[in-house]
Amino acid sequence: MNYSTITHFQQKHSFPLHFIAIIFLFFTSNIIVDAQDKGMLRGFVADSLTAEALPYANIVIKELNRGANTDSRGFFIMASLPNRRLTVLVSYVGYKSRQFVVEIEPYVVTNLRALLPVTNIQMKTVETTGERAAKENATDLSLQRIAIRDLENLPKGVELDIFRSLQTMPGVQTGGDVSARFYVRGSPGNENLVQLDNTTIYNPYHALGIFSAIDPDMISSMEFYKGGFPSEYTHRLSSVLKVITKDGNKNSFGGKASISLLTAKLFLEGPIPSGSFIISGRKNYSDVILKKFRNNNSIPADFYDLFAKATYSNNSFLQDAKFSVSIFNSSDKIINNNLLREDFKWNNKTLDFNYFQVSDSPLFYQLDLSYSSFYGEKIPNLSGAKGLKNNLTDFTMRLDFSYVYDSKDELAGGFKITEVHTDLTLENFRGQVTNTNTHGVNVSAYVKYKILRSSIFGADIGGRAHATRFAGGGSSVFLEPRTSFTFRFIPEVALKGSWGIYMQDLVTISDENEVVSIFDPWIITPLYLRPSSAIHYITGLEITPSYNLSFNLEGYYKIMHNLAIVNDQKYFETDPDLIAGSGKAYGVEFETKFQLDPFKFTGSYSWMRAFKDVRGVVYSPRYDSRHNVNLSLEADFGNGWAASAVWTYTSGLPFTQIAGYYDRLTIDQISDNKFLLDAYSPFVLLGDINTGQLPDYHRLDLSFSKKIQINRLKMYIDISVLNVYNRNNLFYFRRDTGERVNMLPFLPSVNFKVEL
Amino acid sequence: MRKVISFLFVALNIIVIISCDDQVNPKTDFREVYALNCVIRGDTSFQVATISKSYNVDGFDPLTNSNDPFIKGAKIKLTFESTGETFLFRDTTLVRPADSRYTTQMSYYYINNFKPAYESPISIEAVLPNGKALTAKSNTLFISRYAIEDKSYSIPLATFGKYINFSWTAVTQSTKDAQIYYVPELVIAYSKIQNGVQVELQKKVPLNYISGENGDYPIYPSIQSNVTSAIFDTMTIRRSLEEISASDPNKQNYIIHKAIFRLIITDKNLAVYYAAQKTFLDEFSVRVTQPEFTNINGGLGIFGTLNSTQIDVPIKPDYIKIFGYRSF
Repeated sequence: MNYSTITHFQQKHSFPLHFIAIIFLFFTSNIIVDAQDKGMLRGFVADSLTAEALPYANIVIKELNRGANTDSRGFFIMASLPNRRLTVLVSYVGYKSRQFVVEIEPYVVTNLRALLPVTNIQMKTVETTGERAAKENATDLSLQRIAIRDLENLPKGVELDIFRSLQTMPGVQTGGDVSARFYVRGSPGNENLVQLDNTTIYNPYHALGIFSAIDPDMISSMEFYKGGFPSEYTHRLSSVLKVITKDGNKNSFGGKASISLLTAKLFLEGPIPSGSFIISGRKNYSDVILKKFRNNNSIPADFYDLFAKATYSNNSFLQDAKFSVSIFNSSDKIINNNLLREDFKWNNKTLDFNYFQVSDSPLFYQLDLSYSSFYGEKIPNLSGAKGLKNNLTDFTMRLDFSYVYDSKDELAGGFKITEVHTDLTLENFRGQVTNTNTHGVNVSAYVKYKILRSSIFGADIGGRAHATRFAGGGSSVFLEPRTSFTFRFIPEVALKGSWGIYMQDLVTISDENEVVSIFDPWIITPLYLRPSSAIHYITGLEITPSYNLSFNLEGYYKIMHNLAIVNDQKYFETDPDLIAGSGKAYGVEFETKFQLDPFKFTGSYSWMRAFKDVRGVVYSPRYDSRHNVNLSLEADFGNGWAASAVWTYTSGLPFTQIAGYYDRLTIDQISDNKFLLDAYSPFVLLGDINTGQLPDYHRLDLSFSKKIQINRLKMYIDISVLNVYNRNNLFYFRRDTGERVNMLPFLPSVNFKVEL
Repeated sequence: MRKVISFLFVALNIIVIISCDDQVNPKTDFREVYALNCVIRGDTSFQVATISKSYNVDGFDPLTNSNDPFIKGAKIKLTFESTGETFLFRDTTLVRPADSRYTTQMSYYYINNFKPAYESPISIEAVLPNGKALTAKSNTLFISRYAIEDKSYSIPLATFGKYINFSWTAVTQSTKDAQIYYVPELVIAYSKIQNGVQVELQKKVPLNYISGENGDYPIYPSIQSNVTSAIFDTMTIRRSLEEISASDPNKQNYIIHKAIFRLIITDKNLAVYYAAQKTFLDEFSVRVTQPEFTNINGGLGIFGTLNSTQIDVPIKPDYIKIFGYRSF
């Protein structure tokens, strides 16, 4: 029984928090099926060398052909197992699969700790089979789980970027080469929730948004919901990206140093008494490469990010508990060294404490305390631009639990208290400085019940109730009911559906038509507006005709109410800064994956429409891209050689065209009694909003990489070529001169990484 | 080998084709639009209107257009709704400055016998030579309904105090008062002797100055409704007097006449039009386009009403001497 430990516990409810589960057990006792003579298997899957958890690993019980996946922490639970000896197959990409024999006893939770060794030999057939068994009734519509290893073979460009990796998914629109900002299913970027573990990051971008501020080296995995996200997530209308960080090597010290054309990075990890740590830092050293992103215009950007985390787990202190503390700091400056140009500064800071407990019974719970802040400042100098400062602080406490019934059904719930303070100082056209200082507390609780007892049907029914909101007009109570289901007709075909209501009461006050957004200032929804809300209707069909071929088809329809829109008709000081608009988006997404060693092909197509209605004018927002195609081919030739090619196509984005000019009466001084005769200046006459279309965007990227290992020393060399055929993709044109500004040209780059 | 060469040839051609620029046209079909501008003033019987049409240029610089867009030959009718009286505008031309990009004289329209004597709905209709009609409505403003309170203002104040508070009232209240906007302003009337010639000038006084990162910034009264006073800091009046001569050492070339407090009232249409022009690069500094407001049906421009009243505010000769100026 190498690499594993198996222990048995009598099922008991000893922790006070169990009363929450007991209450729900009471209410749901009538649906508990006969579980006599059934036992449970609970496990943890990790790297044998570092003891780092392996997220989304595949677990299959061979005799039952039943499967499960580990969660983002490497844990899994399988309930309602027969009282007998069973063979458990654990597999994970890049690791040697292992089999374990476990003895399941009635009313007993059997523990399995599976440690998998790294291998260079790919066993994709085993992994895919396991994945398929695990997904049979999973309610995972619109969810993408991404282990960071899955991204490593894709073209990195200047360097691997987690946000840009999302943009190859159907339904995710890009802000262009010049922005890592992403738009999901016809919604603006400020409706995406980005969480680093459990902490919200409000502005996770470096250098005008060209790169994400989260260094991939510190990441273990990501969960990305394109919509229909479950009740544990709130405060955003569109999507959720949860980034799960590594815990670090629990057995030995190690490190990585890497250099790209943009940054130098250092990553350290190692054991501490009863735990582990990681420290990850990244700093740019040149802006030469950034010029390529802006038509050879200089971007005097200076940025860094730093992440540190320590975990502690000591059974003699507290059985099966894990504590972690982490800090994150990203900082950016754009200093022009020219008094006639404006300067910018912004940073994100977070501090998080997490207590995670695996109970004796099939219960997980966690307590999380987090602090997140964002500060952004525009310093106008003598440029004539208007100054702006934005400060946001977020303190959140949350408690979550998850309980697995003998029937395999699951109950999860929790509550969350968030205190947010936003401070916005800005200068108006008259030079007056105004300050908006708002403070709000949100208290909410959620519960959800997952019906997983049937192998062909799964459902997730739940909801969240907000007892108080940050601000916004109307009632302080808001309900977010949500449900999703999976019905697998036959093993190869599953029908999925999802519906939910979503609320957001923090908004950004940037204009979505802005070509380049340095940072988006956040404020709490003003009292004169109701919080924004959205309803998602999603349906999908998953077809897996063979172990190495899959098709996914999803359709969605989203309705959005009370969207906070910057008031472009704010004429007087008393006029509101924001007005309410509405919107809708609908579309279809198709994705296929095919694996034939050593190749892996992914192809996707999406079609979408998005509309906004502001003051009765209906228009397509700037990120409404009708057709998107992404084709990716990866090859792992063994011996450390890998190659990949990605081709992306996006139909042209809408923009507002010029319909002519006219001489407009321009009243400078209203007391001037001659202005009607001499105060005219030319003014652009615009066509209907966003009815023009920019040219299509397409780009081919190639990547070749080689891994060299000499004992413990590993070296990675990655050569990427972006925009291989040097397509002149249009970024924007200047209305005043008609000058065409293109995006990234043909750009070769090299990344070099050393790991010890 | 031939197959390989053929494949490479085809692939190269495909790459060349798809890597070409797609041409984007920043311009859509030209939109022919007419702008009617007319502000009925209550302080004169000479009313003016202009009509211009939109134009297009090759390229993106509208200043390259030299074809005069101002229209002549339109029929413009003003109707005083309460009496049904109509007034027809006459067209005429005006010689443009020498540096104008238009070489022709500017066409405009006028009435020289209409001064609104009371408040009334008013409408305008312009029928263009091509038959297109532009219409709009507003309300005339009768300034006599407003009175600036007589407090025997003077500069400096006769009593101790830091501020001069100019206030006004509507002598007779009206439900329409909420739709009326006010622009108070204080100016210093003075003369400057330049090359032996006395030039009449005015210096506008701000309410106060605020300190910014780029130095002090004057704050002038903004256009607002529901206000009944404007308070000027005596220090800003002093600073304005100093700024009249700025760095000119010949202070005796300046003759200070008086200060004038002027109250301008406008209807909401003109107020919004005026305010909209002041909101470019407003609070969020991110506007792609300047907001545009019009109340002209069938076109662009503004039909508004305006009226004004003023009082003189004497500046004491002894005070003027402090600055080295001469008093009138």
